[in-house]
Order: sequence, then C-alpha cells, then structure tokens
Amino acid sequence: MNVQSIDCTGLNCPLPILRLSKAVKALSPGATVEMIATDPGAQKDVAAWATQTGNELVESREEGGKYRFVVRKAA
Amino acid sequence: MTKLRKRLSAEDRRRLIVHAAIELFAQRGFRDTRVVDIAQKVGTSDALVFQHFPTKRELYDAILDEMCARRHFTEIEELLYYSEGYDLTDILTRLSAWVLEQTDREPAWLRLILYAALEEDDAAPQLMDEHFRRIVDYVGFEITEAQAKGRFRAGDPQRYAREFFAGLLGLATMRTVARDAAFRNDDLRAVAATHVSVFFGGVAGTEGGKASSASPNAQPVSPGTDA
Repeated sequence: MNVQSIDCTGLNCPLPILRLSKAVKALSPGATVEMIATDPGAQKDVAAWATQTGNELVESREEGGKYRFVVRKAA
Repeated sequence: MTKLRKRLSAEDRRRLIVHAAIELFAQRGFRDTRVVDIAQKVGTSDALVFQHFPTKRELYDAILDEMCARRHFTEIEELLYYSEGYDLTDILTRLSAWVLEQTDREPAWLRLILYAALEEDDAAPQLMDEHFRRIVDYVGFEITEAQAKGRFRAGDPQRYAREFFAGLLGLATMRTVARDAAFRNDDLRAVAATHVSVFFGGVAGTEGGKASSASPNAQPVSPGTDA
C-alpha cells in the first residue's frame, strides 16, 4: 500500500503541522500519512496535535537529525 | 544597585548575574560590556561572576542559548492547528500584535539580536533563524495558499512575506530601540491591524486571481480593529 509522504525538512513550526493537518484532511478515514521534519519542536507539536484532533500517531522517531512521523486519520 | 546577601542560593545568584548581563549586553553589545560592569550592577565582585561563568563569552553564550530556545506563539498556533478555516486577517493581526508585544515587554530581546548581527557574532544566524525566519516562512505559506485561492495577486510569496516581516520589525525597532514617541504612543493592537490592512491592500488579488498589478484599492480589507 502506498503511503503518502510529506517532506518538511528545513521547515520550522508551525509549518510542518499545518502541512500535516492539510494532508490528513484530504485522507480517507483509517489512511496514513508520513511526515519527515527537522525542527525538533515538531516532536512535541505533532504529539499534541494528534491527541487534540483524535488522529493516531502511529510512529514518531528520530533518525540522524530527522524526525519521522506516521499519522493515521481517525475513523 | 542590589547588594547580594550571603544567603542567596547559587542558583539565585546566577540568575541575578544573567539578568544584569542581559541588560548590559542589550545596552552596549558584547564587546563593550565588561565583567566588572556586570559585577557592579549586581553588587558583587567580578571574581564571583567568574565563579559562575569562567569567561565573559560563556556568560554571553548562556544568554544567547536561552534566547535561541523557541518562543511559542502558542495561542496563535492553537488557532492554526485546531480551528476549522481560521481567518487570515485575524491570525496575521494576532501574530503582528504578538511580535510587538514581545518587543515592547522585553526590549532587550530585539536589541540583543540586533547587537549579535552588528557584531557578526556566530550566534546571529541561529537567532535570526529562530526568531525571524520562522515567522517569514509561515507568512509565506499563507500567502501561497491565498494566491492559490485568488485572494492575493501573483508574485514571489517569500518576497511578500519578507516585506510583511520587515515592516513589522521596523515598527518594533522604532518602538523599542529608537524609542520614537510617535511610534510608541500608537496603540499596539491598532498598529498591528493597520500593518495587516496595508499589507493586504498591497497584495490583494483581482477577480479570478490572475497575475496583475492589483490596485491597492482592490478588495479593501477591514481587519476589525479591537483597539
């Protein structure tokens, strides 16, 4: 299954969250999207955003200075 | 001048030193501030300052590190993240007011950033990135979105965003660094609303959103001043 990916490398918050939010709005319920970001603030912001909006943060990890998030849209 | 009491904890003493140093660095820059001046301002000896910060540079770096820590415009970010279809005029007016409030409340903030740039300090690019570019990039994003909807005229969104931010920074500088009476006497929220209104007038699109030399009178914006 193809997972949509958004590259937010080099972007500062609030942009990664705004792009993620826009992408999730366009998804079907249950579908996932991946986001790559470099702003360390994104870690906290994505987690808070997912909790607040009811979407599931399936994965959140750092790899060599890059942060990878996978979010599943609420059903 | 505050005389230090013996019972001050090391942490409190350190905080006093940092506070005094922020004031002096903001007034004179890094180069023209001496450790003895900081010590005098706190009411202690320079030896005690060196106990906490072995070099002037370490003290300055501690301050810049703190400044590099992200400043949240939390209230605005929450509106962005959780509102369905937020109003751009309202958001940019709030953002402008937030920048002006920050600099009005803590003038040292802007002065330190400007001094770091003037003295070509190594920390200057990081400070600019954290405090300035983040706002420019966000505004650029909104302009791109508005252009796609035909609300703003065509053109480089990042350039428009830089113009927006430069105007805002100019206002903040005139209020807090130049301390110009006319600028300072203006109500902060009215200034923010006018700034956004003038900017929107300049980038307003024409019908159909095609590239054009839109008249400044096109789509006049009433930002709804709450001043």
